[in-house]
Amino acid sequence: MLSYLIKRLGMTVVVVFLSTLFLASLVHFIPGDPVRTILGPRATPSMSARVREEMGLDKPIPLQLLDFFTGVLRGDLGSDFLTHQPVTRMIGQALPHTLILAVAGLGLAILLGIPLGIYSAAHPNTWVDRVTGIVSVAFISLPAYVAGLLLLLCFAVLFRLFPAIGVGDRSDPVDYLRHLILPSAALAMLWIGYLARLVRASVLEVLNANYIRTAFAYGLSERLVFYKYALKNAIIPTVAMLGIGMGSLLGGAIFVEVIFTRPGLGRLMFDAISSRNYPVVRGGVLVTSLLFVLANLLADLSYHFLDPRIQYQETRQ
Amino acid sequence: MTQAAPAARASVIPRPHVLSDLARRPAGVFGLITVVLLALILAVGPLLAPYPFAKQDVSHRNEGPSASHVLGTDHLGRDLLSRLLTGTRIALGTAFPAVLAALLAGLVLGLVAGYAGGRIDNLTLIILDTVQAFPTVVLMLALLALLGPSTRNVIIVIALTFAPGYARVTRAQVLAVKENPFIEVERSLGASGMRIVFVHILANVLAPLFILLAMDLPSAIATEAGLSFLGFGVRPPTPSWGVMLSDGFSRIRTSPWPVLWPSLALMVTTLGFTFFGEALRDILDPKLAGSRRA
Repeated sequence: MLSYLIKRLGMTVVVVFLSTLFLASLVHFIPGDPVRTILGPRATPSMSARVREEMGLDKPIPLQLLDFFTGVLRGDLGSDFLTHQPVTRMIGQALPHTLILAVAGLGLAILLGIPLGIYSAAHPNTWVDRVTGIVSVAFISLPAYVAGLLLLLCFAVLFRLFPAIGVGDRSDPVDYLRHLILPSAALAMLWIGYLARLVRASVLEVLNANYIRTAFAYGLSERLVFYKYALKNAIIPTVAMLGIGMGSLLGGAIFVEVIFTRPGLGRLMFDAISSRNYPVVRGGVLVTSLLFVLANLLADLSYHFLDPRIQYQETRQ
Repeated sequence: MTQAAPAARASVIPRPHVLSDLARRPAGVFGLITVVLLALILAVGPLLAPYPFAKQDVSHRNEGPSASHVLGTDHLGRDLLSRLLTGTRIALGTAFPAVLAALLAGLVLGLVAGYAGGRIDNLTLIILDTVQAFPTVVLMLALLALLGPSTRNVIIVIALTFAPGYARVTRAQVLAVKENPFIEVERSLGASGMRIVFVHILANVLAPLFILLAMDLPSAIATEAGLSFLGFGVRPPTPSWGVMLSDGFSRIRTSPWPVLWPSLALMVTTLGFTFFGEALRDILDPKLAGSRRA
């Protein structure tokens, strides 16, 4: 276990290093002159020179990379081109909104997806099971922005049940929650379907295990076997998946934040990319992928703590 | 339906009962019908379009469905049905090359990594891990910010982000196949490494890749439309479904139709392709397909 842990952490560090390197050199991948791309063709030479200096583009490339790396380690991601605000502060302001959105989305998915999956597995091949199966696939294949747009159209434009814009008044929990419902629902759809399928499959698999047959042979009631013995083991892969879910919801939040005009990390990156504000893009992408990698790492490691039977030797296959 | 049947059978997998198996699954039937309909629209769609997709009818702007404009018009008085039909071409014409390129890139990468093993394998895995360390949408947007928005760049970006999936599947298959006695026999007969990889191993790894391709098409379609919706993909006035959504979204309070139709088109298309892909996968269990000939 320890050697796996060290290896897994080592890999994470390598991957984070490589992705940071990739982001640091992002600006140099632009065909042509990055400053020209940023300022547009009408920029005067003096403007170009100023921006070049601000970005450190007048220094040799290895030095620029080193600057970026030492900056990252010190928690300094550079500053916004246009407003000269530190990127870390901008991210710090946006991140809580995205985290709340992702947690709410995942919470909704757990609340609906897991019971659906359990019910389907307990009543396989009934009509509820079949409908759940089809609805799960439908939810999984439905793009988050289509879900968002349709929810917006239906519940905020046609029937004005929920607000369409912003995060609401932060000092008023009811208002904040009302602003959270539609966006988190749009974000949750995929994971409702996904969790329902996953839970159903793993419960059905566990029900085939020998210890379940033994439990039945001992004459334990169906209800007891199902809810006490089967479910406990069946839920493990699902709980471990939640880390990955958190990561993917953080990444997917961008569409929902744009559609519902919510401030957040996704929205911040969207605006930055639209205005070619590279330091903000770079910082935003770095923070998002760090969270993503971290969530995946936690998901991986949580397997062990939840299920000591799992061996780690074969996981890289 | 009958026209497409031989093509569908011949193109993917050499097994005789695919279509009859498919027909026994309601979701599979829905998937098949959607795929065939989309193929038809792809072939003759522009002929069905009542108007040129960019024709503006200024006296009929933001209108609901009517006799002259079956699905209504957008903010410039353009016929939504015509745009939707043309958009089908954009959606499939972007998604298919993108997924195919991802498959080819992933295939080569996976074959090399799996067969060579050792350092090359480890290096490939690190690259794959790095690409997959970014949330997909975020990576795509970062790349498009560099490359600039265009249809070609969307194809490139989708191919790049989808390729690791194919590489992993290929690599795993190669690892499973490469220790088989028949490979050893080939080697002892003096076959070159190239021949072993590209003739013998390749034949054994293709089937699961095609199933993955069928399953990836809907997400590629959704990705293109999503990127175009955000303004980083296909550029207006080309009527990608994403561009239509973006146009409709900014005027969602004026008229619901410009958002509604492309949303429904995307829903039906992604769902149809997903059902189709899943039915294919269930029927042609990739494990069975791989071991049958191995």
